[in-house]
Amino acid sequence: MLASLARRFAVLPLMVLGMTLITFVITHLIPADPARVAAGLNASAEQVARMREQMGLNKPLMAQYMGYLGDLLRGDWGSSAVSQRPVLPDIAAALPATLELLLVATVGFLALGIPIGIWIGSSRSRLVSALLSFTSYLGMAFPVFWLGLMLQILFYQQLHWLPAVGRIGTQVQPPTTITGSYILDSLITGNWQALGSSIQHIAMPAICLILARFAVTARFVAGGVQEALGSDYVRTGKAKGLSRFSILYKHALRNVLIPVNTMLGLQFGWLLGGSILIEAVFSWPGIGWYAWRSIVSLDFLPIMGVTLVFSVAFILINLVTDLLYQVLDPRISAGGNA
Amino acid sequence: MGTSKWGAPLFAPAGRRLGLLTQVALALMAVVLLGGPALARGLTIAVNSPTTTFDPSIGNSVPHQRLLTAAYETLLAIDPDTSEVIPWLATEWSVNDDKSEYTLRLREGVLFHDGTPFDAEAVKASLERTLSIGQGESYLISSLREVQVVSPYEVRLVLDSPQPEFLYALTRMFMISPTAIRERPAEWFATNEAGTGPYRLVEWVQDQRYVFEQFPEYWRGWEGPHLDSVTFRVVVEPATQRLLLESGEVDVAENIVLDDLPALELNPAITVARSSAPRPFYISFNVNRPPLDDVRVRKAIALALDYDAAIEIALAGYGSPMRGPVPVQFPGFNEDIEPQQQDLEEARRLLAEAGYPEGGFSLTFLYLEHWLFERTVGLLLQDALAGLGIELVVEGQPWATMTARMDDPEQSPDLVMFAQSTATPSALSILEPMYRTGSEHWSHFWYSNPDVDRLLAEAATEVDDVRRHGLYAQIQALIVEDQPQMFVFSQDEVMTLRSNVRGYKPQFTWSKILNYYDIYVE
Repeated sequence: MLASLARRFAVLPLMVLGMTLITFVITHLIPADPARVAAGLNASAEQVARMREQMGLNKPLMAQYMGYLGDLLRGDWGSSAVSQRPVLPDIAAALPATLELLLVATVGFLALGIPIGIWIGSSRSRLVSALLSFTSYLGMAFPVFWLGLMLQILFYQQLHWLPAVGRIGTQVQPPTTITGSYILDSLITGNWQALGSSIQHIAMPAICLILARFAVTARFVAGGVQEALGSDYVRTGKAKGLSRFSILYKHALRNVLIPVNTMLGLQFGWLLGGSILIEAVFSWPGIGWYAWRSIVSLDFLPIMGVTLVFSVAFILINLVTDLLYQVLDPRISAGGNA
Repeated sequence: MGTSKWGAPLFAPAGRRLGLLTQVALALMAVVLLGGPALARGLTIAVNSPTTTFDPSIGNSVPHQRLLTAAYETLLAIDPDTSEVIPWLATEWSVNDDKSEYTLRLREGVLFHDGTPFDAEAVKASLERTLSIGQGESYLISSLREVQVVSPYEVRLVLDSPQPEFLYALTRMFMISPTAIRERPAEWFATNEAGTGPYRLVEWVQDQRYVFEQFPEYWRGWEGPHLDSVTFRVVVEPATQRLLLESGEVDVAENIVLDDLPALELNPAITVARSSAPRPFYISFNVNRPPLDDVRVRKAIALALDYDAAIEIALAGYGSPMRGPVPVQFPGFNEDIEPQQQDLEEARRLLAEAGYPEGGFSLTFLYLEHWLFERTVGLLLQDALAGLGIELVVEGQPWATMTARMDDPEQSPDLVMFAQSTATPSALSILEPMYRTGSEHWSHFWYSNPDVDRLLAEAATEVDDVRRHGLYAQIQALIVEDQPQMFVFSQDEVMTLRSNVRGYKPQFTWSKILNYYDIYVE
């Protein structure tokens, strides 16, 4: 197992390198003039030329790429042509907000999707399982952007239950930064006002993401449950007189967690992409919003930075899920000997 | 072994956990909602883009200037009603005969937010800083050679060459505390301020909100009703801005989309304040590319568009006709120029005369992709030109791509729609970049007319205002004749506010920016 682990980690930098090369080439193929954007509309031609020189855009593409890689390794991810602010600190500042949102959303769609999936999978009523499947698929069918706006109209405008935008109330001081998660930090520092406000603000964007994805979780779980219920050890359990609860939660669930694990890896990729739109709708100051602004203005250094972060995150998560298989099912060993 | 069909035990543990968390959240919600202070005399404004830098020497667009005008001030200002230059931090001025030296008398008793008094040294330090950084709107003072401190409250600006309209530039240069310039590194100015303006920055949460409070020692004083604070909240999504405005959570929403305005007009709690503003939109022809090199073809295309429909449909009525290249509000505007009207008969005649009686060619029309109203104009033109046998391909591109294409004569589109920025009411600042042969400005489209060049050169140094305006009039007439562009419309300035917000007046050249000092909430 250690050998396979080592192998996976060794491949990681190559995959990331490949991502950066592809993104670099694509963003440079698009006809755009970042020097012009950085210099400003009314800059004279000399100012633009000076900016182009400063940004190293006159060098051949390969030289630019190698220069970029060198800078990357030294921790210099360049600066935005639009805002002139350095990329890495901005991404690092934006990351905790997105991670917190994705974490809450993940916990949410697991907490909702697993019981519903078990319900669907173990229910003897076809009507119940059909109804549940239908409503859970509804959430998936709507574009997440539209869902966000609808939730705002419902929970903010009509019911006045939840705030529409932001990560914390405007009159509320954010908690002292320890982990970067407002919820955790307010809990740790005992800042109850910040805690309440943070939970209020994360509710809608998280609900949006949850509604959009719990169906996938439920589906995977339902499938796993149905398969488990038909298996030998479950029949043995029933024969031994174990309670339904005990069978489902203590025995079948362990095996259901395997498809859940698979699904988590996939969901994470979707969540990263979905975060871009959700953060725009709810003015959530995370990396998704940073990505959206950079893409819209073809600001290629921030785009490269964001792509780097997204790809590393995605690769790592899938690495983790692969490793979790070892824990959940010893039958699946790293080398694949069943 | 039986359990209920609904699997009650399955949900109990989950239900209990969730219940506790919800209860805690609800309790805290109550605390927060009930305990929040009401800033009754402050103003909250929803804006759709964050301010990337608060540096007054660099900021060059609305997201920067909306904050800068709260905390910083300029030497002179433009009167929104008369378009004339009025005193501000400078109270009087005199100019030498050939307009190459401007002597300003400064206002006494003005303090910067850090306590430094405003004086001639401050003017010198501020102008020199902006000039040396060389970004933002510094191009406006590029002819400034020297700032002489004549006395503590008198300063002389010596220019490289005569600049008849240099006073306009002084309405855009912010005065910065010399102490801050001396003692603070450049990065400090990105998130802090050292101005003389009515409001000072008290909280800067990057990309989320910016909070300002009254500066007690502000030189105009605080008699009468005023805002005690101004808060900017970054809300990217216009639909969300609308929700916040309607619920009263924000007092002003700056970026409501045109489609939402009719509904908001009907809402008594909201005022849609509309005023005509110098925000001209042009469609430029690539005059080097046949058949657009023939003025008759250009004129025919210009006569094809239904300009009234363009305003009604693309701008939802929030616009006014353009009369030539210079905005009607600018001094030196040629009153004899009439708005262009659709005339398909004349268009057909001109096309026939030019050798294209059935049309028979195809053109590309480029617009800025997220300005959908420009696309609407493109479609209107496409429809009209189809009737003349001309195919128009309508394409949207992001700004970075547009400018790259516009810079390259090979890739330059046949028609491109854009807006011109109007930092100062100087007709020259509109005419020179767009029409002078060899101008390298992004808005220049290969147009060349030696008569226009001659008149531009004369106007640039003509110190007599009346004569200079006469030259402007001639240039405008020539441009209208040559038709290197279509003059589509001028977009109104529209501000959506809660109806209890009083005192708002559009600020002419600070477009889409509020006059914070004069506003108050009833």
